[in-house]
Amino acid sequence: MNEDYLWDRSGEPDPEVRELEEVLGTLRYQPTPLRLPATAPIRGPRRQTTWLAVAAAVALLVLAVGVWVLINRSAPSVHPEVVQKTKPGSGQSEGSNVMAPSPSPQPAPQPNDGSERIKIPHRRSPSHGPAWAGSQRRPATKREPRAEISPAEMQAALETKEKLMQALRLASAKLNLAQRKTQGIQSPANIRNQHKLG
Amino acid sequence: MKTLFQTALKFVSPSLLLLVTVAVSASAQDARLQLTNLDYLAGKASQTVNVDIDEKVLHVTANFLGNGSDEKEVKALINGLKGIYVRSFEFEREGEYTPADVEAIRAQLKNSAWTRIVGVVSRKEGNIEVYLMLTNNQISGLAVLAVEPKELTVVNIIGPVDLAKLATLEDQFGIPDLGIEGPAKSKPRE
Repeated sequence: MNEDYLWDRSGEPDPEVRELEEVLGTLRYQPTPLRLPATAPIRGPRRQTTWLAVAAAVALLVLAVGVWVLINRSAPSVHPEVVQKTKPGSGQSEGSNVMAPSPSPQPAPQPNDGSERIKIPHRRSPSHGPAWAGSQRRPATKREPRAEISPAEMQAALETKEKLMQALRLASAKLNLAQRKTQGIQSPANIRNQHKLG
Repeated sequence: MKTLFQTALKFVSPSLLLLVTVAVSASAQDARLQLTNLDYLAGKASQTVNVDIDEKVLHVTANFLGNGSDEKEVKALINGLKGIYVRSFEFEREGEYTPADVEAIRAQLKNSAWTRIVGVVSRKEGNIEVYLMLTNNQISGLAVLAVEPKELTVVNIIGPVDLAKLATLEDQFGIPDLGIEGPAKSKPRE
């Protein structure tokens, strides 16, 4: 066997090698110029993928917003003071200067959207919320209300408190004045005095 | 068909609930008097009390009340209230306000929802009228109109106010006297 032919194609090739060359020669590289089709269809597999990604992102966003709205609707924030006030037995009448039947206490309504001037710390009621959220909540720890009241807001609240006291005192004074005047008109002592003077 | 009914019910129920809520809140607001026509008197008055406390502010203010017995009483009193509105003007001279100012308030109180429980007329000391708004045999509003020669006061409290408790607040809290004069207290008989 002449191995020089396999090395540098010199000498006489082996018949088997020649036969193999003839068989595989048909698959030899044929240098031909590149021919591009004049009207190639523009396919957009990548574009389709982009649109799919955008659609999925939008769908996820809508889903997230929907879940957020659902959670917020099902777990309304309740002010702790209001919860405390709804307990029965508070607000019974004690006074003696009764001018009209005292009303029975009513539960305080829930504040819906907060104050215009002063932000109150809010706490969500643990009894509310979706069922699946309950298992993820820490059982032992309580979330403390956020301290959002600034000194200016505190000052405004104290001023409002003073105004409230002033208004109640004024209302009380006028009610008492009306009551005294009513009793004064109906008092039999006054009638006796009128007889004495007349 | 069942699905269609359920879908319709799903949309109709919140709408009805919203409608009822709006109706209830609207009826609760009926007890509020329009007092803005008196605001111009602040320029003429020597002393003015102008208080506008709505439900939100009332709840916030309740948090700033302490735990003393007096302030607890106030807390209990304002529990459930929807607003407190006061206009009080004291003048140096008589005739600073007009009868039309008073009539504008009185006209609102002539509504059938209001019931006048006290009406004292005195040419010397002035008139004082107390009105109540009752809803389901419960007080849902209070209005006091005190008209004196040198003083005009309107108090409007919205919500279930306890008159007995309110009447006891006059001498509490150490708030300075506003100069509201009542008749002299009679001496106890011996």
